[in-house]
Amino acid sequence: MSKSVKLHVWGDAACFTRPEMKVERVSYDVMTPSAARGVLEAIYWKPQMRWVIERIHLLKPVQFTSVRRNEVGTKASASNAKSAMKKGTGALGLYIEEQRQQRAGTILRDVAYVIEARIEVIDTSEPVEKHYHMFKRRAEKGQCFHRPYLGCREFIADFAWIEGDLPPTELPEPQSNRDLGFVLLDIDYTPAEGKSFDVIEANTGKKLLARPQFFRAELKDGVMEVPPVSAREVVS
Amino acid sequence: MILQKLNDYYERLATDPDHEIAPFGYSVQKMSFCAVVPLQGNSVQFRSLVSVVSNGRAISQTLVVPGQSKPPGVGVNPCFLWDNAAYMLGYRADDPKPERTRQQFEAFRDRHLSLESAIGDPHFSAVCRFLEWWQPEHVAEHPELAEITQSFGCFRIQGEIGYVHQRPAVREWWGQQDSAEDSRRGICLVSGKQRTIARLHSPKIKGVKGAQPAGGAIVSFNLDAFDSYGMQQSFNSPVSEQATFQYATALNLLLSDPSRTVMLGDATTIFWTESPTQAETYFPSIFSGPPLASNEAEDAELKTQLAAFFKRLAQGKQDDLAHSIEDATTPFYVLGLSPNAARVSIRYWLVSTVGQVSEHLTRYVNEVELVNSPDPTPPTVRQLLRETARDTKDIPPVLAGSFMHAILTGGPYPLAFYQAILRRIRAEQLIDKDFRKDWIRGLHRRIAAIKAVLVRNFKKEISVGLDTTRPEPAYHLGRWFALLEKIQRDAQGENLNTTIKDRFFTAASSTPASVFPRLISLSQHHLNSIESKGLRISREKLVQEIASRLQGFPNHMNLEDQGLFHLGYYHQVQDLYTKKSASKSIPSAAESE
Repeated sequence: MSKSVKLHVWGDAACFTRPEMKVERVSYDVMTPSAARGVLEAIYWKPQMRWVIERIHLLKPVQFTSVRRNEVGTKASASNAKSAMKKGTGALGLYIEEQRQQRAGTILRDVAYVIEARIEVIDTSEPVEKHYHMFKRRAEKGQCFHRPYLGCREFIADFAWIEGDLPPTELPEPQSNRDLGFVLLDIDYTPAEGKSFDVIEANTGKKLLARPQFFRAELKDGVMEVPPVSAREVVS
Repeated sequence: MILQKLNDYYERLATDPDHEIAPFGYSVQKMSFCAVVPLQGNSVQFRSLVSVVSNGRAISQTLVVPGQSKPPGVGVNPCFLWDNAAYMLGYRADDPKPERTRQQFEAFRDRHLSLESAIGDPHFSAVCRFLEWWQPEHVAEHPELAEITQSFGCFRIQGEIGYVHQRPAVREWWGQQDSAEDSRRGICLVSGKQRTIARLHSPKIKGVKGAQPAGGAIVSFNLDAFDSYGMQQSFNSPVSEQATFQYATALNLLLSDPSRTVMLGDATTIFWTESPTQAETYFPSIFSGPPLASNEAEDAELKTQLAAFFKRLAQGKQDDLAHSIEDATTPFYVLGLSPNAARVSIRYWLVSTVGQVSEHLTRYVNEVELVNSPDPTPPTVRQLLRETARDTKDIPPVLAGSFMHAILTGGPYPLAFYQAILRRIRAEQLIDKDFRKDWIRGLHRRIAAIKAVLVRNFKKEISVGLDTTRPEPAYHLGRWFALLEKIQRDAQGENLNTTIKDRFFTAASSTPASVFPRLISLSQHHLNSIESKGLRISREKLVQEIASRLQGFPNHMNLEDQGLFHLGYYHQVQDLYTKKSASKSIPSAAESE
C-alpha cells in the first residue's frame, strides 16, 4: 500500500546539522531523510499515514558558507512547567538576552533537491490514494500547515509539485558520485519499558525510547538512495 | 565527513613506517631522562635522553608512551611508567611546595605497586622494587638530575634494550584497560562499527590560533540546549573512543606541522591529501610563505625549491615534481578552524583534488604576476591581505577567509578586498615611506592584487608588463600620469622630494577631468626646461602616442577604471625605467613613487 510522490524543494540556505558538530553547527553535504520528511509533513500529514523517503536528488553543487548567529544556551525547564501547572503559578520565562550564545555555523548555500517519497497508510480503512491526492492538491496550490524549512526553521524552503520529468541538474560531474559517510536516517521510537525514557509522545502521552539511526550514504549520479529503516545497512 | 577524513589520515600515517604516531591509548611525549634500574631495584643511574643537534639546540627524545599527559588542574594524577621528576622521584628543582611533591611521588609509587600482581612482568616488578627503595632524599646523591629533568622521564632495566613501558606484557595489560567511566556501546559515526562510545572527546585539539592553550574540542556539548533525546555530552553524537582518539591525534599532528598550517585572519587552516604528495606541503606556502626552516642552509634550499615550484606553476605546467599524473585525482582537503571559547568551530571545509587545487593555484600565480617583481616568489595571500589595512591587526578576518576560499575554488575574489586595496593606495602615498620599511614591495603587491581582481572579477586580459594597445582609456590615463611625473623629474632632477604624484595622484585616478588639464599645462613648462633636446622630443612623442588613444578626460572613474589607472601607471613607470637600465629599475621606480 504505497504511492510515490516527487517534490522539488529549494532555498537560499540550508543547515542539516551533523550530530557531532551541532553546537558549532556544520551541515551535512546533502539533505537528510529526516529533514525531507519534515518538509513533506509541513505540507501534508495525518496520524493515519506515514512518509517514507525513498531517495533524494541533489540538483546543485554543494557550497558551504560560514555565518555567526545568536542562539540560546538553555532549554525551558520541563520540571518548572510541571510544578507551575500544579501550583497554578510559577516563572516559566526564558530570557534570550541572558542565555545568548554566539555560535558559528557552516551552512549550505543555494540548494535544490527533489525528494522522492511514498505514503504508507497505518489505518488501512482509508485508501492510500486519498492521502496521495490530498498531498498533491496541497502541494500544487502551495498550501502547507507551516512553512517547510531546510534543516533549521530560519532557512525556509520553496517547493513545487513534480509531475513527470525532474528539473535539470546543475551538479558538476565530479561531484555527482561520492561517498557521504554516515548520515542520520531518522530517529527510531520504541515504547519504553521500565522507568527510563527519552521522549513523551505529545498526542498519547506514551513514554518512548529514541534511537538515532544512521546509514552509509552515497551519491550515485547525483542521487542518494535512502534505505528502508529495516535495511541491513542501517545502523543504530 | 571531516572526522572520517581525519581518521583516514591517522590510518594513513599509522601504516607509514616513516611516521611515529601514537596508537590508541598512547601518546607521543618528549622525554628528557631515563632511570636505569637493576632487576633488584636497589640502585639507580640517570641517563639523559636529550641530544644536541648541530646548531646547538637541545632536542628531547620523543617516545610513544601509555596514556595522555595530565589534565590541567590541581589533582594528583600519576602517569603509568613515565612522568615528570616530581611524580617519578619526588624531586623538583627549587621546589616551592615540597609537601605536594612528596604526595605526587607517593601517588605514583602506590599506583605502580597496586598494579604489580596484575601485570606480573619481572621488569615491571623491578620498577616496583625501585619505587619502594627510592626515597626523595636520595636526590642529593644525583646532582645530574638538576640538569636533565626539564621534561618527562621513563624507566629502563639495566642491561636491557628498550624501556619498561615497551615490554609486551605491559602493553598487553594496558591494551585491556577500558576507560573506567560508565561505558556505553553503540555504533560509531566514523567507523560504523559497534564500539565503546566516547563521553568526552580527547585528546584536546591544540594549535588553533586564539583557542585555549590547553586545547579545545571540535565535538563538545556543555549546555542542555545542545542535548537531544535525553542524551548527555558526546553521547549526543556516537563516536567511538578509538575514532575520537584517532581523529584528534591526526588533527593535532597536522596542526603542529608548520608546513601544513596557515594562520590567516581568525582561522587556522590545514592542508592534507589522501595519500602522500608534495602538494600538501607545498601548496600552503602560497598562502603564508615558506615555513621557517631550522637553519639557514635548509631555509635557502627550501626557498629555491619553492621558487622553482611557483615558476613551473606560473608557466602552467602540471607540476611533475609536486605530483605525478596519477596523483592529480588524489583528494585534497582543506580545513579551516577558528576558536570559540573552549570549542573549536569549523570555519570552512573544502574537498577537492590535487589537480584541481593545482589548477586554481596556477591561475592565482598567473594573475598576480607582474614585471620587475621584487620577490622571487609570487606574493602570498598573507602579503596581499597585509595590504588591505594599515596595521596587520586591522585586517578584517572575514576577508582572509573569503579571499582564501576564492583562490582555492577559483571563484571571484571578494570585492571588499579590491576596495580595501584601492583605499590603501589612496590613503598611504606619503605615509608609507615613513611608516613601513617594505613599502616598495607593498606597492608592488597592491598592483598585483589589483591585476588579479581585474583579471578574475572583471574578466580583463592583462599582460604582466606595459601593453600600449589596451582599449580602456583609464589605463592610458594612468600611463600618462606616470609620464607627466617622469617629465617633471627629467626637468627638475631625479631626486625630487615631492612630485605631482604626491599631490594629484588620488584626484587623477578618481576624477581625471579635474586635474589632468592643469597637469598637462604644467608639464609644458617642465618639457621646456629639459636640457637634452633628444629626450624632450622622445617624451613629446610618447605624450602624443598616449593622447591619441584618449578622447577627453572622464569626470569620474569607477572602481574598475581606478584599478586600470593604477595598473597603467605601474606598467608605464616600470617601462620608463627599465629601458634606461634594467638593473636599476626597482629602486629608481620606487623613488619615483
